[in-house]
Amino acid sequence: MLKLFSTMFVLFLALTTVAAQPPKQKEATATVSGTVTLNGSAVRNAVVSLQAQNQPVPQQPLRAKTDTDGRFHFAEVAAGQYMISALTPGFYSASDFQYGFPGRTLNVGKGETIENIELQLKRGAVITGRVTDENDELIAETQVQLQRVGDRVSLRQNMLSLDMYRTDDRGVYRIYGLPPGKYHVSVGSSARDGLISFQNVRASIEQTFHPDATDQAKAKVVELEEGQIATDVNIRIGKRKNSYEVSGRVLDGQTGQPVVGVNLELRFIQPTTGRVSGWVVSSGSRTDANGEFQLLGLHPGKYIMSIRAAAGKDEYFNDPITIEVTDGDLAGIEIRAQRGAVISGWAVIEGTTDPAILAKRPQINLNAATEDSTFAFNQRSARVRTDGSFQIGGLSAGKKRLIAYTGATGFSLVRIEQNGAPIKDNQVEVRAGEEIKNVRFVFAHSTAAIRGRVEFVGGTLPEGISINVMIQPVERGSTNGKTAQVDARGLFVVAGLLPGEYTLRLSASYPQLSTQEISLLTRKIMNHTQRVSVAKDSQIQLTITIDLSQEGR
Amino acid sequence: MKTRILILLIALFLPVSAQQQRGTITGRVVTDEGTPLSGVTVMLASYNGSASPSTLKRALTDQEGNFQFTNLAAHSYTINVTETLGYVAPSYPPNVPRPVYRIGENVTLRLTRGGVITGRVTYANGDPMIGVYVSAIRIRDANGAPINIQSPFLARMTDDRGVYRVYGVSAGTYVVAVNQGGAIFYGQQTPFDGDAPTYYPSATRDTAVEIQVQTGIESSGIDIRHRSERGFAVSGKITGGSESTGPRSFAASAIIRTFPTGLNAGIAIAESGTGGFSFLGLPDGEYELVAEMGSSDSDGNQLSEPRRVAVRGSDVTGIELRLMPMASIAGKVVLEPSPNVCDPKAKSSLEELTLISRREEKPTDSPALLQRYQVVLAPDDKGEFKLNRLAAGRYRIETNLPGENWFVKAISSGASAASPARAGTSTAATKPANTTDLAKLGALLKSGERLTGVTFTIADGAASLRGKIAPAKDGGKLPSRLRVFLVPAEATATDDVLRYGEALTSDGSFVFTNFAPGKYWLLAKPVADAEPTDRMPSPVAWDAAERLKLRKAAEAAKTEIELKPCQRVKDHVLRY
Repeated sequence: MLKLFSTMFVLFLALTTVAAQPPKQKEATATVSGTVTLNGSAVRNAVVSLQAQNQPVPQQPLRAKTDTDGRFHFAEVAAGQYMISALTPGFYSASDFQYGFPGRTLNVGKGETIENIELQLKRGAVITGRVTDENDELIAETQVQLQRVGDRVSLRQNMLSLDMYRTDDRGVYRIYGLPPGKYHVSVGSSARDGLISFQNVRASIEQTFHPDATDQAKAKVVELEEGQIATDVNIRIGKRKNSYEVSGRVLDGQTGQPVVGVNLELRFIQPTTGRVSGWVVSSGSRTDANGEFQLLGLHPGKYIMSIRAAAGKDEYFNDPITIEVTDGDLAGIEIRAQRGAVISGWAVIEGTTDPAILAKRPQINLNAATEDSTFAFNQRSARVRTDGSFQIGGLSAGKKRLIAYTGATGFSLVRIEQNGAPIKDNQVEVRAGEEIKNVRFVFAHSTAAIRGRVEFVGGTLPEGISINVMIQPVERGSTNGKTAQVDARGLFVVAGLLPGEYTLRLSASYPQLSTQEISLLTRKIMNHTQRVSVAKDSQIQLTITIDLSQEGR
Repeated sequence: MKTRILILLIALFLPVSAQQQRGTITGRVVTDEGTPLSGVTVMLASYNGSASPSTLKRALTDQEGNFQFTNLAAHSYTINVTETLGYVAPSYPPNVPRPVYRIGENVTLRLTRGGVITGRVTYANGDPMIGVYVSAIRIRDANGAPINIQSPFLARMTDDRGVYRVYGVSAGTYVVAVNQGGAIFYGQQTPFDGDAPTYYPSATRDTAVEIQVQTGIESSGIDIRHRSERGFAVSGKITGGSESTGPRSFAASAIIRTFPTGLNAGIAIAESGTGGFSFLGLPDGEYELVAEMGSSDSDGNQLSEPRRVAVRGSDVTGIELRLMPMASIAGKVVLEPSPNVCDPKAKSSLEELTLISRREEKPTDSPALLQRYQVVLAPDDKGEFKLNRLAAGRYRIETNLPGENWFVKAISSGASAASPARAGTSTAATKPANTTDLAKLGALLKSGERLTGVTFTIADGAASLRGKIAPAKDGGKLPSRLRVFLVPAEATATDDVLRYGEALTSDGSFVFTNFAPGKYWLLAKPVADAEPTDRMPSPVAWDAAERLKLRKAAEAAKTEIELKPCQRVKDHVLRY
């Protein structure tokens, strides 16, 4: 929900004039305050977290507790992009549906006073039940899965709440803090997605939905109102399926020596379509000192096996092999790994020798991805080192697209060249085992930024909607587009733009399934386009107004 | 003909190379009532090749609870069972080495049905406390003996009603805490960070009410009312530590524990760049901090000195924990040709024995750091070994030997290996003057010191003694815990530490194996009730003055027994 307050508007305008003043001696810090409410009433003693985003080094979040009036206050907040959320297990807020992360984005300007941020909580619903088998034996310590039915709301899950998604020693589970809506509850692994049972048990469970359906079409929907407690959502599983063990070893194709410390990745091949599942399973399968690996809990089926080196050892790859598990363990699988090709060189920042800027180079992640295959097996990446050099290893032969991920560094890729000559379309042809040297990724650094505000008039937006701003260079073929999320106050910041002409557009994503009304709305939002000129290091202020009341377009 | 005899002689004296021998370990997992547990994961790890056992293979038990590992080399193995369905594996005190298994053995692993502790956590106003961790902390074992090092512990979260259920709890005495060690979860923040823990029913640790947990029994209604007290912060930075040149896969971390009870109060990963760490929510009390950093190279591990900190009503800042390199002991195990060979057909390999480093404790030592001072590994096929990742201190090396035919004759560092046995030589060691008897004196290691050239001499011909303690008067009662001592009787053996043995017993039976033949005394002494079960005190024989006291008492008891080479005494009775 984007609530607009006249006070914020006034403050925003005040900011634009303040920017003209000479910089202060001491770095001014901002304050952020607001309230946490439950159905309109204040929630006291609630912990609110303000977590800085896009940091090269993860920062400890700032915390504040609400007082008896439900108010919280953060002082001495540095400028930047943050995620603000209420840490209140058992309760949820509408903004939790955005990308599945708790909280809302907040762009904090230098020295800004941000007030009246309201975090509106709702009581979460509960689903509880017991899992048994066909002999009424209880199934303890089993993972329970929830799926939303009828919309795309993604459920917030962090490591701390995983406890509740498992049955206890009595086979009982209790999942709380849920948003209202329709759910399917199931245990076991699905036949569709790749059949490795994480429980590593000999007899694994085929995905079974409440109350006892292996066919999702026959699953009973659990419909929850706000704060409702649904009990006896029991699941009765049928006969378990046998799972099998696949073991073998990985050897260096040339020397025959064992390859130590690489992970095995398996992808399931759909029996009817032949499509390779994107789901990779590689748990517990790192090769030991003898190059041996052991994978437990595999269901019958065809799999593609490939190796993925552990960090720092990415020299090897293999031509993926297909294995078939039928009704017994597979032993003695031998994988011949080859030393991959290597692309090395430098990340160069044009137009600056400022050590503070060069120190950001290790935040750049360079990627060489296989361009033409149906599965993205051979994608390798490497971080730029502190001296600016890089090395991407373990590449298979073929055409590779080179990509740079620059995060919040303010760098934009200008061109890639090798031995002085530009690399066309950022693609290189790699031969088996080849060493491609002297590749230069050339970046420019810019502090140019667009700070803007998106305003919606003549209508309201659906709950949980998330708006993004996309800035794309007018020049074709450039990869220097940037996006930014519009925050709780309608503000966005796009930084690190190179000088040039850009097109600005908006996009919207939302958890509900599309209705005609929502489609119309989305069209209006996405129809907006405007031209922005960026000069070197310029700071641009924009206001975008979208009129939701206008008829069609 | 001649060549055949020669080969036979060589076979008698040399251990068989591990490459020739392969075998199987079979076993069964059962509950303490004897019912088999099927579908349980059993993990096999080996002590050969690295200092910490690394899992080699896994197996799943069948319908009868059986499992097997086949095609194994003649190495030293350990086996772990994943706890499941509320059944708990036996817990081993931190400085007591786990059993070692070898090929050809059949193993029975018993899991006990744990108890359950359940209840509700509320705020002072009665509102449920949702999503907070509740831990069961074991302070006494099933026999009532105190547990000194009170972690790791079981933790489960409360649900939307504030209800928690901790299951798979082994029998014993517990205190139950809310939000103990909150920062353990590696930077995932909870709403309760910064709150001091509350103990059942609404107490601090000092006034916590204890709960008895019994096998298979549910203790319900263990309701806790949160005290809502702020704890304090302890922060600082970790310094030292060498820069790794490759991608950094290990980070430095700091651990804070209560002192002296060793209860884990938090683990924090150091901030990269600054090395800063902080712990929140600590109530007033004494704490001990230590920092460590792993490494892919086992010689690269680093550890700081433990640092004592007192929290008294305010935050403590500026604690510096300096990482220092760790020490190692390297050498070779040698099997000396012996006139007495107990079983010419036995084919034990040097890779089937394990070496265990054991640090001499000082009264000021932290009990919680005991785990750091014990390293277990097996030598390679040449008998060579390197015990590394040792903190500074004085160390001795103990062993777990395959079978009962071998005994440790000498452990020394310095120029020479053990002298070959000659007919008629007594088993008392004779060594050239420039070697150090490590069994007697231990090796004093400074941070990062690398001791090399240690010779570990084994010989065949060991004797064993099994027996039972009986009351001096028929029908008399024995103390619940006794310690039995085996003391070499010859005057020349006063300082031969390797010939002293001690065994703890709670049912009166005792076993001594792998001892050098000779004359011995037996002595039994009661164990003080206050001695914790989770910590084996240093053997009495390590201290010269204690050895003398022991000898005097043993001599006075007049319980001499002679053990001949390869003798197996089965039913010896010791009157107490």
